[in-house]
Amino acid sequence: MSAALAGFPILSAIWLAPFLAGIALMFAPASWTRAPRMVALAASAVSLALTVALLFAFDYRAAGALQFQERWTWIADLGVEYRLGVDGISLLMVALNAAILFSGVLASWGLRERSKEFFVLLLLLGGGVFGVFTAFNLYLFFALYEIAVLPMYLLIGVWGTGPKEYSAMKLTLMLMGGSAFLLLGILALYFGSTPHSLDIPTLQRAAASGQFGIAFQRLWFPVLFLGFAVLAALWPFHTWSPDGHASAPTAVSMLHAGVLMKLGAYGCLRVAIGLLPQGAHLWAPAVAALALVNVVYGSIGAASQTDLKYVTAYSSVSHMGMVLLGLATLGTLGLSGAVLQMFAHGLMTGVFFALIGLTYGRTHTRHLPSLGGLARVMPFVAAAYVVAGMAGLGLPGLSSFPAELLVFLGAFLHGGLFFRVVGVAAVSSIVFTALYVLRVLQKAFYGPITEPKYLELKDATFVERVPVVFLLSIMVVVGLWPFPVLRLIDGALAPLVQALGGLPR
Amino acid sequence: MNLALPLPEYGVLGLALVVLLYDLVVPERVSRRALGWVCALGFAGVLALLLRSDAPQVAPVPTAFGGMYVADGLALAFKTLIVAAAMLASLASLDYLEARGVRWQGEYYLLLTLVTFALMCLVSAGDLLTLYVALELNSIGFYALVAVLKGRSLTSSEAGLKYLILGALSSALLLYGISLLYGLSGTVSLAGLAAWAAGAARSPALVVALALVAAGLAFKMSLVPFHMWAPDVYQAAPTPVTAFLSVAGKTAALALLVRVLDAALGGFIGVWDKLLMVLMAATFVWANLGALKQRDAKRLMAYSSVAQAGYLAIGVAAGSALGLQAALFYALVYVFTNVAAFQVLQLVAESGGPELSGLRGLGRRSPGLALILAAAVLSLAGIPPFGGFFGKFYLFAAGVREGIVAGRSWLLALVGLAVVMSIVSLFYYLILVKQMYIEPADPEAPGTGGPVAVPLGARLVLGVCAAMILWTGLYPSPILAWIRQALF
Repeated sequence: MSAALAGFPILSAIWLAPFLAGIALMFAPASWTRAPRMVALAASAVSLALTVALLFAFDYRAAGALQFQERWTWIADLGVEYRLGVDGISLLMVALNAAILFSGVLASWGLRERSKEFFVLLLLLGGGVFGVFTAFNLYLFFALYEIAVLPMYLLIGVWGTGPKEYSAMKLTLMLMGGSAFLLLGILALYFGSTPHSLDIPTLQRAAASGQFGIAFQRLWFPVLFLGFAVLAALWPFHTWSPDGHASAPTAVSMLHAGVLMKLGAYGCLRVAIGLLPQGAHLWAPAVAALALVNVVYGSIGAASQTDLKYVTAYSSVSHMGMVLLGLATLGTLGLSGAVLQMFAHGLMTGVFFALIGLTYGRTHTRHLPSLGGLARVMPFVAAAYVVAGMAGLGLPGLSSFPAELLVFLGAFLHGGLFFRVVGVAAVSSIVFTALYVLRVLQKAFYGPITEPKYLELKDATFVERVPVVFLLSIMVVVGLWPFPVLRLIDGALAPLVQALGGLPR
Repeated sequence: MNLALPLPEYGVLGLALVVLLYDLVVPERVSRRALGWVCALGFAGVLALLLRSDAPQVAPVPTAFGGMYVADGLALAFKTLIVAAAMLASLASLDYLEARGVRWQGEYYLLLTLVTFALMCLVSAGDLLTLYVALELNSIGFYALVAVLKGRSLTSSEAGLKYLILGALSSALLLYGISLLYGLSGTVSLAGLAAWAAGAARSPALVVALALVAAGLAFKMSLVPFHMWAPDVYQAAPTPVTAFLSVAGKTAALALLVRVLDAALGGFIGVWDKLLMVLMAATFVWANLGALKQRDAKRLMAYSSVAQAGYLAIGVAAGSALGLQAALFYALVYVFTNVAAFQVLQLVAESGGPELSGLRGLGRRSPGLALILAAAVLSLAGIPPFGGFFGKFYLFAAGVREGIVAGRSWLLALVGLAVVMSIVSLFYYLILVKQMYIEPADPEAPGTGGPVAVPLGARLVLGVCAAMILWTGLYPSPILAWIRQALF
């Protein structure tokens, strides 16, 4: 921890900057039409700048330990504390959220309709997500988790397209349904530990000292895991995801697929697997089987959709399956792959949704068969789509490649025959991934121009290019030189892997 | 005997006398609107008195009238809630009655104070007889209050009559149960019953007595299947009365459940907790599903209130100190949340009508009102950062604790059901949010054009409630300390 930051509550500042800006904006006069986006940009830029400072000040040699801790008693009765901290995994997720939130605000720059309310909700959501990734008390974690999920209802319901009210309600109820199970699971952890605690590090110690019996773990691991996995779109609880992502406005799709789904995977890792490791061992084959369905079914689904957003939404289901499969291996390789895939997929899907938003804003259709030849008029968009698409099918040199490779290796080297089969089957999904990525490229961006009016279209403006280039450049850098990130993840995972108990790598 | 003990009750009785005198002295043609302010101020005074008094911290608790009146911390805490609700109801009433030209405003405020008095006696009852008399006094007052729109609204009179008939039936059930208990134990004092229950054997007559008492109390609490009156009465009653009935009536019923089941008959928890859990399970399922298809906003909130009563009962069924504290905290949150919701609905209905569609476009027309209603219903759904979130967390914690620490797995399953059904409730609460923020205002519909007028009384109500919804969610520790001190 660097001396420059000593005493400064940087983690609070990161999540409160957007959150409080959102609340303040709520009370701004309704006549403001341009100011809200400036406020949103400023707030997300503050978070981004603080995150960069955090990246520099973080002690990478102690990536497994909690750093920059803040701890206050909040509600003494149930052991509720305001406790923040970052370890390597949190750090990576905070960085992802900072990048996506900043890009999302820029991607909504042209939004006119009820812009004040839109940016209020976007900031509340973004702030809540920062909070979840740094919260180390289960109550705080859970409260922020719900705060991050709920604005989605209005964001999709008001500013969405298509069957937006249906999608918004479905998404909200399914995710909140998941969080209802979380509530039970969290209370079970609290009363299952002695002395009762909601503090995550304390509970980790309680787990390590064997306080949670095997019957307890067998019962409560699936409750907690499924509660989170709904948000990570685990099959068959993924159905909110295609509808929700397809109906949501651009920035919301970016944030939702980019970071909110990662909250689910993060919770699975930090809470379900981290606190109930034996339960995780017991249920790992079942999780792996479902995750395999995600991977294969998602990629087939993406290959058979004709709406650009549905294609990307199903591809998210597939890629999140990869994350869950990595988690299910419970070994260093698979877990690191899962965490890296969370990061890589967040960036990639953010670019995808930003580009689709750009395209849709010009052509007013996302229907694949009616698009064609857009590369001729929008070369920047097409080129960016090519890069993101190559990342999607795991081309070396982009951030998804090391992630997917590690997940496959993790599954294959797990030792069990079952995992080996699952790993091989998951690899086969790459065929479908190639199919849908190349199909979109070929159909929408290359080939003849289908409508004469497309000839008038303009390429992306400067403001629109900034978020895309920003996210793509992170993808390339991490893809070409993933080792610092991997070292960070490995360091952060070391205590967990030790708790999981010397599995074959 | 300490005659000064029921000082808050004397205060409310004095207020009733002031109202009576005012009505007598002031000429007929002068509006009685000022009585709303008089009542609000009077209740505020009593509230200050209650907040300043300390709960007794050592046994035995002070009693008066030969043990028929108990001034313990439980009574003190519940009285505080009841008087706060009465104060808010007076503020909400003054412009409502005036706008409708209700003739019996003097009687209305008199009944309001007397009902409050009865509810206060009810939560202080140390004896089944005081309990029964206080219960009847408040019920009769409520029957009349519900029907106070007589001559202006047929449904109001109908609801009053319906409430009267069903209420009389439930009182008869309760009385029969009480008589059986007396026959078994030879005492009507709650303390005496507790002493008897500690050693008595179970018998078929006891099960019948417990079932009858539970049924009578469940009616007041509006647990399914004894909730039938609630939707009709809530929908047709004047909105301030609905709000008062739903919060004060239910809070007092909760106090009764605690006093009779947990405190006096705690020895039989193995018998009555099954009964109560069946009622609760039915409540969670039926009330939440029933709310889904409602089109009238007040009727929807009626079903929601029935469901909320089920959540409150978790604290009673847990039968632990934690459960009691959680129930009391949730009752406190519920009072302010429900009053806020009904206040907004009342204001909106003035222009937009009682249907849910009257809320359309409220987010644009009156952003402040929409924000408060959204906060209130999200709090009822248990969404952070509002009070309902911590309240539900606390209540469910009490239930899960019994399941995991004490091994009562049925209660754990019941909490699971409650959690799942609270997701169903989120659906209908979000429908209110959707009407306000997503549906565009219908330019054809009358009264959905401009902003909603908010008179001073309503402003005060909303201000207090909004502050409490946030406070209970963001920093509940002082309130929890107050509750712990009251329940020691």
